[in-house]
Amino acid sequence: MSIAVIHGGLAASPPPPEPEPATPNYLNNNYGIWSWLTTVDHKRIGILYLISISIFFIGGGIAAGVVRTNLLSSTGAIVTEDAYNRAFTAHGVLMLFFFLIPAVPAVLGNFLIPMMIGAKDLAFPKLNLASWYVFIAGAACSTWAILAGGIDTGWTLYPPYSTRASQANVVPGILGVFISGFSSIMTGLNIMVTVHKMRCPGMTWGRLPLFVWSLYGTSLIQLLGTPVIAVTLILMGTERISGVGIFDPSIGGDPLLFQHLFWFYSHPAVYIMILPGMGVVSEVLTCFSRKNIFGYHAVAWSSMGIAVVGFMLWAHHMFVAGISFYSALLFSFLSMLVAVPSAIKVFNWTATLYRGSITFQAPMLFALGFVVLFVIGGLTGLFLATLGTDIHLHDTYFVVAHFHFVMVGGMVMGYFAGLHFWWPKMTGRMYSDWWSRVAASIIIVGFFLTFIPQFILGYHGMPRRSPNYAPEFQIYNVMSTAGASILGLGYLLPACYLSLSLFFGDRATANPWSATGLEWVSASPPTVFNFEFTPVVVCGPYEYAIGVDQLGRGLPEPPGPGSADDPASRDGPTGPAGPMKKETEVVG
Amino acid sequence: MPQAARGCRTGFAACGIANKLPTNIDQAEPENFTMSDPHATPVATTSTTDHLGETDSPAMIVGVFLAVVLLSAANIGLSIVGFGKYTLVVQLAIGTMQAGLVSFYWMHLRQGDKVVILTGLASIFWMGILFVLFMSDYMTRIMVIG
Amino acid sequence: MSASTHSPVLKHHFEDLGQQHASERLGMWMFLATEVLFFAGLFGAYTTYRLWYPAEFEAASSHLNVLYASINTALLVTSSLTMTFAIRAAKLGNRGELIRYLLATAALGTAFMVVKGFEYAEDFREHILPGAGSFGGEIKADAEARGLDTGKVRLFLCFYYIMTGIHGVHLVIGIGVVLWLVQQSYTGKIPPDNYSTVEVVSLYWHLVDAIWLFLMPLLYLAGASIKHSH
Repeated sequence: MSIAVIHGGLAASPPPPEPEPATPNYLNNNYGIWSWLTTVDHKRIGILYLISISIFFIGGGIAAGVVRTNLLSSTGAIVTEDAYNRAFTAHGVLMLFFFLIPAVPAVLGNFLIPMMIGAKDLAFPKLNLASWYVFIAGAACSTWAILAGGIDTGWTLYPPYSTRASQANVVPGILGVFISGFSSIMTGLNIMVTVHKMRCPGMTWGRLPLFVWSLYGTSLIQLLGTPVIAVTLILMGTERISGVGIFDPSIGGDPLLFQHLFWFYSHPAVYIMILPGMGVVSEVLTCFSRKNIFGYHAVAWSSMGIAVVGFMLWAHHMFVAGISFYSALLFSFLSMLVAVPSAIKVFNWTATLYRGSITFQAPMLFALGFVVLFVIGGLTGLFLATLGTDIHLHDTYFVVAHFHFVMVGGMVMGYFAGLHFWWPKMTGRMYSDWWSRVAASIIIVGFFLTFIPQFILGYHGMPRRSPNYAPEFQIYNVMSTAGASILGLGYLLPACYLSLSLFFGDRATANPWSATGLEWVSASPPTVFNFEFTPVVVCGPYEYAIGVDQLGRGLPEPPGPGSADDPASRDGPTGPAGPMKKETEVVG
Repeated sequence: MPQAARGCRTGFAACGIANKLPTNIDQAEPENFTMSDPHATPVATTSTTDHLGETDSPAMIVGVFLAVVLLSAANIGLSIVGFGKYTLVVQLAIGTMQAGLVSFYWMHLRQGDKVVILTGLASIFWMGILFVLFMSDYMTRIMVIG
Repeated sequence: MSASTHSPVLKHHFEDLGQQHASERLGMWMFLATEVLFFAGLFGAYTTYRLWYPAEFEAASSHLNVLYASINTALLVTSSLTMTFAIRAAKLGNRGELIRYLLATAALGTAFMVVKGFEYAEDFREHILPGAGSFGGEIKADAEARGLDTGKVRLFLCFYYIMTGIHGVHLVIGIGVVLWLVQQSYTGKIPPDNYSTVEVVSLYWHLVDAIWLFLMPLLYLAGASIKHSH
């Protein structure tokens, strides 16, 4: 079962003994809904977030269904124009603020960060629980606003429409976003202090898993960006309620000031959404290609680079809004600059895959899908960052396709990759390998069918947020809606097999993927305090090639067929004595 | 930052990793109390005042107070006198000095915790990003292209 | 089961008090960073308009009551003084002194809000208000006499109320937390080991003070060199 892996010339440690199943583990040490609602255990709070954001994902998906179904006909198939406005606003608000932003940081970050750094919990456990309650309060407020008539301003809430003319439930909607922003700040603050102050002995910054680095960058953005949208929503809300405000042109105000303030947060917000996904990809790609990450420091620093530079690009959303030409030049240049750290990551991931022993379980399929779709999405962003082409493409479906490629093709894939990768650890159960691969494939195919036609539509000029369009665009819209149906089916599958795995899945071992991180040391599901002993880290996070985990122990046999080309046998040109020798150096 | 195991470039065995590994993890002697029961292993308590750091002297506290009050008075006085178009700059400079005194002395930046200082500087830097890039638009709108 | 020998204020997920204090302090500083960015949005917006409409902003500012603002500055800086002494008392284990300094801080903060109340009342009486219908009185007449755009004067007043209002909300929250500290100290939950609870509140308090030190010159002293005959 656990075979000692022999490397040419170096004696590896035997794989560690399988830890006893934790009794009690964090799931069953306390029963009852009240124990869950008053928990301060970061793992339980991660599960609470998981359940909550899944609900909002479904809600946002239904709104998307309304939008896409309506677009089947060039004159609007199922809803009035006003209702259409409310549908795409609901889709944006629910998906962005109540699904994408909390998805990886609050679910996977809360669950995994303490375990990955060898701590017992986050730095402020009660603050963590408070952040979930604040999130629910804000989400409830906005959801009420959406259900009780809706908001019709678009998720971007531009004045003067939102402050003067809109008759919709703008104030409760923005109140909900404002409140849930505090949840985002609390989570970010918690993660940053934890990573600074609570690493276990031997866990230096240079040995942190890249997931932790990327969540650190994410938390930095959450901390520094969210307050600006908070104050912006207050300014907008007071203008709407009192009838006078600083965005009012009739008293000398500038509506563009709202856009500046809004996008100062909302652009870094997209990096809040994507960076954690990138962290997941770093973890998954290394594990399923059995290789150390290529260029650890480059990838780590590029997370920080994206976090910092990402704050300096926001006005690329405003190129045609009326900002000064010189400012537009500056922002265009800076927007291209942020592509550099993103590209560094993609190149390093590719180099990590090269000559790896790759297996294609669901987490790997999702992660590879992330890389491909993110590259396409990122490259199309360059067209939008270029001033000349943006004039043609702004506010068209090209933009819609671009951001869905990075948000859905990137981030949602990354979230699903993480969910599938860490599901055994979180729940102690394995899901169906076959169905998960089928689901991943369906999602990727459905995704392409949904959004590639939208690039074509946008290039030919179909405007976004419009319920009607020229009849010659219908074929692409129908293709896109068909793809969306496939995508919906694809998302339905994990809901089914993941839920079923809770009851019927095989019991998971501590380390079913034979991964190297500290989170895999304890039993699945883990005990309440995460570890039976204080871990002492002795090497870097991805020592797959020499087969050691971060405690210096060996690794169990990785999943996959036990044959001659089993990735566990590392002899030959991809073994440590071969041309890939430098990958075996202990990092850190 | 990385400490003992930094020089591990020559391979697994040379690292001395084997020396660091407990031979049997389940019975390893924990240096601190075990994860599962924080009360199990008695640990020698640190002295009750080790972590308190230095206590501020009343002289320092009052000294900073007087400095800040005097600067405020100067600010008000100078504003009434007026510096023409430099008034705003002087006002902001005085405000910055006051904030600097408060944060360095009263908020204990003087104690030198690196991460705390970095946090303070980062917040100023990010505020700077907001200001500079806002101004890049608002101050250049009247400039005509070409 | 041996008796625990660690300090009763040590939280179980921390290894020792040093780590706990350092984490609490860092956590509060990071929260302060968010507050700086929060006000930075306001200051940034104010700055853009002030650079666009200097004459109107200075004229509007000259009608605000510098005396009230000066008194408030003195009150707030003094409250920061008492707050810093409160940390000292906590570290030295002097509970009575700690409570007295905390109450003084809360009292001075409350005095600030009372003065602000009088100030707002005076502003309402003199129609120094941004609304289209409520704007009037001497400030309007003065602006018209100087040939300035009254809309932009009202824009300044929007900033005046929003910025002082949000600052006031922060101060009230601070007073509430300081009073909570008084209660905690009274029930013995702030031994010298737990002085950091007082310190993190003081960090917040000092920030509210520092923000006022910038707010005051920007709002009240912009037009201080303009003299009016009242």
